[in-house]
Amino acid sequence: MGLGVALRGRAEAGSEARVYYDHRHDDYAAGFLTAGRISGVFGKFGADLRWFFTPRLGVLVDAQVGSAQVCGLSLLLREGMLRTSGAAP
Amino acid sequence: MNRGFNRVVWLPLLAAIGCTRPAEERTRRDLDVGHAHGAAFDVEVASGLAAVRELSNDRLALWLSAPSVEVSLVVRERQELELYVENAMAALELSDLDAGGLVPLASGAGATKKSWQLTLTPGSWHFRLAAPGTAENGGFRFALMSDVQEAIDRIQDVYRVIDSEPELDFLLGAGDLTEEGEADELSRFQRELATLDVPYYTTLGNHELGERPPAYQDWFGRANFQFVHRGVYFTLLDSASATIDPLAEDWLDTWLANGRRSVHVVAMHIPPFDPVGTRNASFASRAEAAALVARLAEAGVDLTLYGHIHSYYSFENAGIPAFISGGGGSRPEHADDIGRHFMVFELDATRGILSSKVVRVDHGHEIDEDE
Repeated sequence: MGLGVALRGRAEAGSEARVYYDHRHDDYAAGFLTAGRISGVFGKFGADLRWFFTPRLGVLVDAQVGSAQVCGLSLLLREGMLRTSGAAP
Repeated sequence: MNRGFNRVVWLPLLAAIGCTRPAEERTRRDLDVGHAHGAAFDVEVASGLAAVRELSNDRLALWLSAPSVEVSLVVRERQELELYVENAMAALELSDLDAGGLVPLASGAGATKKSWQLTLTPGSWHFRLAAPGTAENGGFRFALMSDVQEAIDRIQDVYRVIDSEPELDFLLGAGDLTEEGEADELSRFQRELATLDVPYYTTLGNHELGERPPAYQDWFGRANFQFVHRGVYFTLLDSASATIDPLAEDWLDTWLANGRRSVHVVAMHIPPFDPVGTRNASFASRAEAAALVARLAEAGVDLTLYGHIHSYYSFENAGIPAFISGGGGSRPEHADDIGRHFMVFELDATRGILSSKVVRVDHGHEIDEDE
């Protein structure tokens, strides 16, 4: 379950941001721990931002809060032809 | 501005609300259990296997967490001391006390309360509280009951059936004694135990975490501990936060090594894995759960006991026989028709797990698991 937005303006196509809840407990971040009675019931919460500053190069920043708190920074390189608006396939 | 601010702030806020070590504080509090300092003397219970419920110049009250407990006193001035012990086996004796005077007093209400009048001169004193034979290998029976929560009003029904079981040495608990873990609930739970003929050795459950910090350890002692009874090792772990604190994981290394050559029973509240899955009643991290049961299996643990799910399940984790028994009276799982129940096990340090059965309190018959 999540909510995301596509970024425009100075961001190239494919740029987007989202926040989400993921009920999985079997990955690295796993379920959400709290000091109270419901510890472990919920999955993890996360957010990521994918921003292409050129048509081929971008960065991905992501963070997850579960049993572990995970954050990451990735350099994105995409290959292949990009379809531009209005162009023939 | 506000929307941008909200986007930036919500994840760190969640990170602050959540925590990677929710059980750290109470695990560290385990180290304080069984230690107390008074004007006239200091008390130290070996391995923290008793909670010091009262300490004054003339009275020391202990709540035992194990069948056999060793206590050291440092006495600063000559004392007439009443040693009052609760949650004791009926045949519990005070021994190895080389002090001058020792006068047994009449037991308080209930079979699990004992008291002695001691005359102590300045110096260090060491004594042992144990029933005869507890240090020797041999067969015995114990019961398992967990998840009472809001049903404290009706727990006497369960205790009557437990008391009718022959030759039980003690009742083991896997947590959720109360609904919120508040001091008055814990006090009431202890008062209700007065009618039980056997002591109740237990760890806590997530329903003891309603107060911060939890009051549980002041009443019932350590959340993580190990004791030995007739050569069988019992390790109780605090999984009330759906995880085992790393400090307790360190202690577990020693406890697993202790029990490797004997029969070893491990109990905790929330099971590492939920064998049914409808409530997701398991550890927050499947990876942690897998690592824990792998450690238990590698160390030759013979039996794992859990609560939390208000029903009865028999299964295996990593090849270790496992039981979930949450029949202390709290709201039962829908449509399973198990109802209030407890389990009875027969063990022997050399022959292993000899039998297990489920005793159903409201249905009047038993389920033999393995006889």
